[in-house]
Amino acid sequence: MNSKGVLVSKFKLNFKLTPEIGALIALAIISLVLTFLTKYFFTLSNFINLIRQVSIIGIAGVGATFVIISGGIDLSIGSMISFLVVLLASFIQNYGISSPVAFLFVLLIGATLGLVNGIMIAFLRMPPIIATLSTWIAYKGAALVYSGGYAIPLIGKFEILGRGFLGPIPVPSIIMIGVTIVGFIILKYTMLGRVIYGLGGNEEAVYLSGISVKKYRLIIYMISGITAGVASGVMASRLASGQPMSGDGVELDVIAAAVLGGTNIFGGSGSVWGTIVGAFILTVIGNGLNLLNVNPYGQFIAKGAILAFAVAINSIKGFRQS
Amino acid sequence: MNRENSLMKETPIVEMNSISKRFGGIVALDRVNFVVSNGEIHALVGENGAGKSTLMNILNGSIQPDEGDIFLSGQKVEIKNPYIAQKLGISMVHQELKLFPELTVAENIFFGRQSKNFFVNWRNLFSKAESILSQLGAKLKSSEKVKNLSVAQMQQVEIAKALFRKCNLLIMDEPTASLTPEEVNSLFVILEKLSEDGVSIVYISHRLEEVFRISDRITVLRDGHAVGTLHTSGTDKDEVIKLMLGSEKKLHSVDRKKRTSFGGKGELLRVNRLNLKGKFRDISFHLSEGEILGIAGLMGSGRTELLLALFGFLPISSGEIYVRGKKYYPRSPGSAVEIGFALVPENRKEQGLILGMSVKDNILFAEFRNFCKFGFLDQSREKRTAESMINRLNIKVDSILQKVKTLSGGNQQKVVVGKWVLADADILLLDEPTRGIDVRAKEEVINIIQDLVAEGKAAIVVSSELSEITRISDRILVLYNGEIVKELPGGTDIKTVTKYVTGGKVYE
Repeated sequence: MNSKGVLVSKFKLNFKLTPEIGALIALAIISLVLTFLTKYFFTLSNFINLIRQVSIIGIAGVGATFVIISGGIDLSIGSMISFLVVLLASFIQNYGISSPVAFLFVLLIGATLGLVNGIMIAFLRMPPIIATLSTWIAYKGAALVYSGGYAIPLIGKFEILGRGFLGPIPVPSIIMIGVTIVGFIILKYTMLGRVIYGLGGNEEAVYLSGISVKKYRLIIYMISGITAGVASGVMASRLASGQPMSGDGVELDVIAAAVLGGTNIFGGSGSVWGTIVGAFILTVIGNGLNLLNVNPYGQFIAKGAILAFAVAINSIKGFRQS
Repeated sequence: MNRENSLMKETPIVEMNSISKRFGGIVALDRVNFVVSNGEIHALVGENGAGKSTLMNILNGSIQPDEGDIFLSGQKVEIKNPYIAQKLGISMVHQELKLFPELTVAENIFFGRQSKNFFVNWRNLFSKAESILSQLGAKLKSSEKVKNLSVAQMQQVEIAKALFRKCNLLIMDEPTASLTPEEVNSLFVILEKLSEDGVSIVYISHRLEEVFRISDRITVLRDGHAVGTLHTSGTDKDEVIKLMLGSEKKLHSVDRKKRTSFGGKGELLRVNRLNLKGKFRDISFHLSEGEILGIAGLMGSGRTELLLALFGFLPISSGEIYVRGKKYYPRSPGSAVEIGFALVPENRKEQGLILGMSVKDNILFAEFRNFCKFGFLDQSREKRTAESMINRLNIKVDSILQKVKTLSGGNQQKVVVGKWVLADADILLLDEPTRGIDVRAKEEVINIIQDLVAEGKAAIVVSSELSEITRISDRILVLYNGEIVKELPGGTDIKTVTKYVTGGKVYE
């Protein structure tokens, strides 16, 4: 082999185009295009706007990523957020519970809602897509029943989580970064993380290694409930009210973000930072289309097309490899 | 049998001439000749890996030969795929039946040809199916869904399907592996009837007892060579076994060395009248420290299920298990691991490994909890441990982070074994530990097992390779149809073991 060949092979060893890096490159290209197409896109105020907008999908997306890597799916995330937002507003407004305590309650309730998903999947052996479809409907109903369909106002209270700033940086973005770092550490440096990847790769092998699959399934869905709880705190604060439909559609956004960020929808591989990149792609596209004055309804079409396009590229690549 | 006399006079229905096939560097078939006469039942026997399936897959069009010609009733043919084989009148009933469970018997028989126009004429379909089934003497309702049938009945559906496709050569691959004795009898009635009607049958089986009951002639394959074709009435099992195994070159017990020096002989495991409905019954044995117990048995003899039950993966129906004198109920693999069991499963890719994860993670998988410090994995200790295990078992990897799916079969198997060496399991349950790995890796895996047992652990080894079982086991249990039919000492000659494995109780 000549020296050139060696160099090429070394380059290949050191640099592997992972789906996450692919997503990052896509994000960079989209941003670059928008910078040229619009005056306002590449400005500090728009940047701050973006990192605040992305936070809810990013936060809930971390839990969704755990679930998807483990070979499951959680469709109930949006309804959990709606229900928890309503509860949070009601705790503070109607019951006068102090904000931190109310938020803590909401996290606990979120964990419980996730536990219900986990029990249906691990113990009643329901397929995750059906189990969480049922709770998606039921939790949505719970939000509407509890609120009577009306928004519960949160006037002058609970402002920091959604609307606060730490210096120039919006608080929700800081929360998102925190949740992402915790998620990253769990996936990479704990036994739970390894088991999550293992379950998505080969559940039977995990079970035959003497590991309690049921216990871990419960934990994974509880985590998804907790991140939905955190996201609902940001949501309630940003909207300054508990709106019973506020989480509608978030479940699909987080799944789209995870998949755009390179998480395998069948489990076994993926990362939280990939999901954050995916969430940014979705948000930046929405933001860019707004700036370009594209009809907001038409934006759905654009987002759907981009998701299909991105996944097609990955699938074709994967197909070629096998 | 008066058929025999006329066998050689007519043009044979199948003549395979000098067939060779290589896979990579391995010669699967070397100039094999194989002739099937009209209406005969021709048994094809040989050890695992002798080339039986390859030969039949060539005849069935699934595989193309590198060299050689095939003649059907004197006509030279090229069988490019199974569909062409079917058109030429060749059908194969595979070991894993390929039916649609949610469809009815009739739809399965006629699949793809249910009707000539857009609509299905159900009454017509069912009555046509019934007539084919009654021709076979099969008592089946053609409107029943296939998922509600027993394995034997599904087989009958497969045969009916072949008949409908005007098959005049039927290949049956290990058809009795999961049948009860009564079901075997009724299958034989059907096969005999077919052969009277002029259908030729190639019957692949490990069960010599059945081969002698049903076949007219026997062809023996060994290491890719056809070593002989015999008239069944003119031979006996001893001769066939001798042909299957070749000259008595195989090693005897030489490898049960070093372990004799082990002093402790405490009893680790005792099993009392263990039952698993439909899989095995009345299994009793014991296992001491420093001992290897071999389990010899055919596929479907209950050998795999026995290991899975001990490991808590399949629920036992009744019976008792004692580990170190204490009663133990295998609730789950988790409880089995806790008490010191380890399982190297039959299918490493589906049950033993997480292919997309690294070598390091796979080795550590059963032991993560012991590498946690305040919930976090101790990375450097993980790395050191994985590296030392890779060195100890001589696993060939570029890095400990290499994905397991990129390793060779032998190295993958060593990773599975390494997982349990690390977990310090006392009772190793090894299901086909050397299947599908090359000779060198085989020796290495066997040596690892021997070393562990020499340290005072114990192993139960299931293997289809009898030479391996007799070589490493201290004692051998022979399973046949879910029962222990014989206990033999280690080092028993393969011929004797083969007799019990293939013939069950007949030799008692």
